[in-house]
Amino acid sequence: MSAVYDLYQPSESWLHRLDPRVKLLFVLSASVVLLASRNVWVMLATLAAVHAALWSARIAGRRIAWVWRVTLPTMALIAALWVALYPGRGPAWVEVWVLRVTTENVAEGLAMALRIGALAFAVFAWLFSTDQATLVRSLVALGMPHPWGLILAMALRYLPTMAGTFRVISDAQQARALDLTRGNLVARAKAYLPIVVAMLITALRTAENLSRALESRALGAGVRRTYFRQLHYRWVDAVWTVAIVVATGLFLWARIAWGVGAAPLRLVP
Amino acid sequence: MSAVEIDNLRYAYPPLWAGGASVEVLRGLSLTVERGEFLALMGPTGVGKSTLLMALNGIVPQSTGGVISGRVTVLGADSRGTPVAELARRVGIVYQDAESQLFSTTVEDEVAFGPENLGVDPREIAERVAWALDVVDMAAHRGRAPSQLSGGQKQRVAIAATLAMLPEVLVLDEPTAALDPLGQREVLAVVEKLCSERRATIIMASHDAEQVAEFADRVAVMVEGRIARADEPLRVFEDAELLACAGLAAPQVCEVALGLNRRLGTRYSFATLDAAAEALGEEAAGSGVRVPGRMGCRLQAPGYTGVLTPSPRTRGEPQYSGARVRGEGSLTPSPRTRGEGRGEGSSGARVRGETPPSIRVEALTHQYDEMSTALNGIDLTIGDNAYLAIIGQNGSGKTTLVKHFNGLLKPGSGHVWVEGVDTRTTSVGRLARRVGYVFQNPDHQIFGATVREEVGFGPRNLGLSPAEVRERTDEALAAFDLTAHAEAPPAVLGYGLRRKVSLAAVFAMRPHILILDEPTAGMDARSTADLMARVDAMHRAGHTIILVTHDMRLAAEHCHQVLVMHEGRALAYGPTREVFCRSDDLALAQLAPPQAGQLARRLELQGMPCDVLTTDEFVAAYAALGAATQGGQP
Repeated sequence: MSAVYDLYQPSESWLHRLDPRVKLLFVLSASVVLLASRNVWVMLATLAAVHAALWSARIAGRRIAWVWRVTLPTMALIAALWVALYPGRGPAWVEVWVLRVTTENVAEGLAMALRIGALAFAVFAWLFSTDQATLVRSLVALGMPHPWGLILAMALRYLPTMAGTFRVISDAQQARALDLTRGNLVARAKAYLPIVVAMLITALRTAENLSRALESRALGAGVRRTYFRQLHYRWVDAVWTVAIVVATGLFLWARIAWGVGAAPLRLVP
Repeated sequence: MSAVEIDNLRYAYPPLWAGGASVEVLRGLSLTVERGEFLALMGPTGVGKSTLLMALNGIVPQSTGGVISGRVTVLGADSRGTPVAELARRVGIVYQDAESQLFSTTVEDEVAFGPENLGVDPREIAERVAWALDVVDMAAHRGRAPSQLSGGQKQRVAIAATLAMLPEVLVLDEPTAALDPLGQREVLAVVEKLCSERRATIIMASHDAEQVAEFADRVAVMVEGRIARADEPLRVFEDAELLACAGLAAPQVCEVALGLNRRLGTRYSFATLDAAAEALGEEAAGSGVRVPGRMGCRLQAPGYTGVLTPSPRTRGEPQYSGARVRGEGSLTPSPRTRGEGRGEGSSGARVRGETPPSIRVEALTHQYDEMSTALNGIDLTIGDNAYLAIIGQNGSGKTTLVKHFNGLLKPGSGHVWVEGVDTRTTSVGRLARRVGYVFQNPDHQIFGATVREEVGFGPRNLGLSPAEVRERTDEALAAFDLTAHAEAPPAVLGYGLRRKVSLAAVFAMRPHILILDEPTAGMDARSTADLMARVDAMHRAGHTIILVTHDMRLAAEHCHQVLVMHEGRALAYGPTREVFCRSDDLALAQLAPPQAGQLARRLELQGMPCDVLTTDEFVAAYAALGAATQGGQP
């Protein structure tokens, strides 16, 4: 059950050993590059690089296939909407009423879709190779206040629990002949009310117990908090940091100076 | 200096709603706990045990608010004036609900959380984490997510997380109440280790008298917000007047001692299984009761006729047949048991096949995901008016099985028929007319603004007229003594009352088949007896009752058939006595018969029949054994 919410894939690969802050830097840099570009080849190159990293980190093929399954519908929708809403220049392949399909808007739609896919893979590469506790620890180490990190960790921890509780409550109410399948949308939404209220009561009880447990474990003891989970920034992390910063900087310079990646199909306009 | 000193403690919670009255819980309570002592705290549900325990680490009143007077001193610190976080260094508390006290993403982060908050050096935290996980035998699971652990493992991690803060006093608030027998044993093994090897000061609230007798140095019994008596377990459990006043049960072996003393004029005095076996074993051996060469399971003592003292609960139960196990083959109880039905006790057996069985299951398989099979080829027939207990560890498939009975789950393969209706093609709503399902946690179904609205919810969903809904609601409220609470919000009632509301809500739908999932978990003996009396009455009125339970004594004393589930399979199914005699199957499922049965087995070499289940049966069998050996009547 929790596997659905915990994307971490344990391994001893170079990607797993990389400092989580460096991986976060990569995600941010990749986002900057992808958002600064409108070029299909830049998107494909980023996707290929992330796939190579995932493959070398021994991330299971079914996990990669799962990301494709999750993102492909959104990618297809974005490509279709782009083509429909942005009439391209140049000769039209198809022209029906306001719809005008051209090489330009198809290429741009494809670039936008690939941008979403590449961004998703960059984020999932980070989540697949970083366990939740280290992830939260890295965010706190980067300056996120500890209470926020604790809230994030608890949200990750309780997602599967709350989902399970929702299912049990739903079962309990249906066992009392509550029908969730009949009627129009409003009637169905109303039928969920007993489940939502019971869920709310249970969540409040859990929250009350949780606050007592946190207090009993000395949260807010008034001393400087220490951390069991230590992050180690090694020389290889420094090399990757420099490489990521330099590569991103070079791309941005090329983008501004020569317009590299500005056009949908041609790398250099 | 004592570890804990409480003097004339009074405490009232703030009003539950605006304009309401304060809820007084503790009423002049005084208690002292010495260093290295294991004190068990017992008392009826809602008497204030958890409140008292939370007063030890300052949660009461610092977090809860309310009005407090009197003095609570823990290792010299006043719990009212010392911040909770500061008291946490001295008092570690483990709550009943494991789920809401494990909030980290991995086990080791959970254990490290307390020391981190106390500013302990990271290297020392690593040492403490390793040590605490080693103490609770969870070192192999340090990288796992708490949500992936079993109930027993979660509680062990919660104990480790508390131990890592190196508290001098460990407080356990019913740590085993929500666990299966295996989980209970795991947690108690840790408690035993802490007691015997580390001489830790432990204060543990518990409803389980057998656990308490086994481990505690002293028992403090709470009645009406005060300590009525604090003494050695044996003395407390022999104080029948006190137990009756507090609504508590003694360990079953204490009842055996009392029964033997009354019947035989002896002066037995024991509270644990070991002490009872030693006392009765020596006595039996000394009086020549031993049966040389008889090593096998003896099923019937001379002069012992099985159910010796028929009572309402055993009316209709087939007389003891003497067969050790029923025949192999499909999981259908023997014809004698199947014939047991409404009125059979007085009007004779129903001819087999005359009316359809309540539930028939054929080759049922169910998978939640591709990785594991929750149910694997179950074949089962549950007769009309059966009173069945389903037992087994968590994850054995009990709940998955019963969810097929009301259509919440549809068979992956195979079939389930309920009163002849195929559940695969029938909606949950339609099946709810026939099958009532009371979930383990009453909070999972309570949502109404009033108890009346809550109880009337099911009948309204059945499409009944307002007049009939009102009639059924009133009847259910009266049947469960809830009429006085009809206009109260159910969510703010005590646990025992909320449990009654959940039962009344299903009762009002008048289902012929009633499924109860762990109905007595976390309830005291009096509340349990009260609830089971109502369930027994429903059975006598002709309903089919299916009880999912971890309480073997409850199953033995109330149910006529038992189904043992293990790893998704029906390991054993038959009359209660026969199933509890199948020691190999019980051992495989990591279960054990009630204490009287275990004691009888320990005395097997002395000639005791091993199919004893209840206190009365044990006393009768033991008396008969003595009489047969000495050639006289007991």
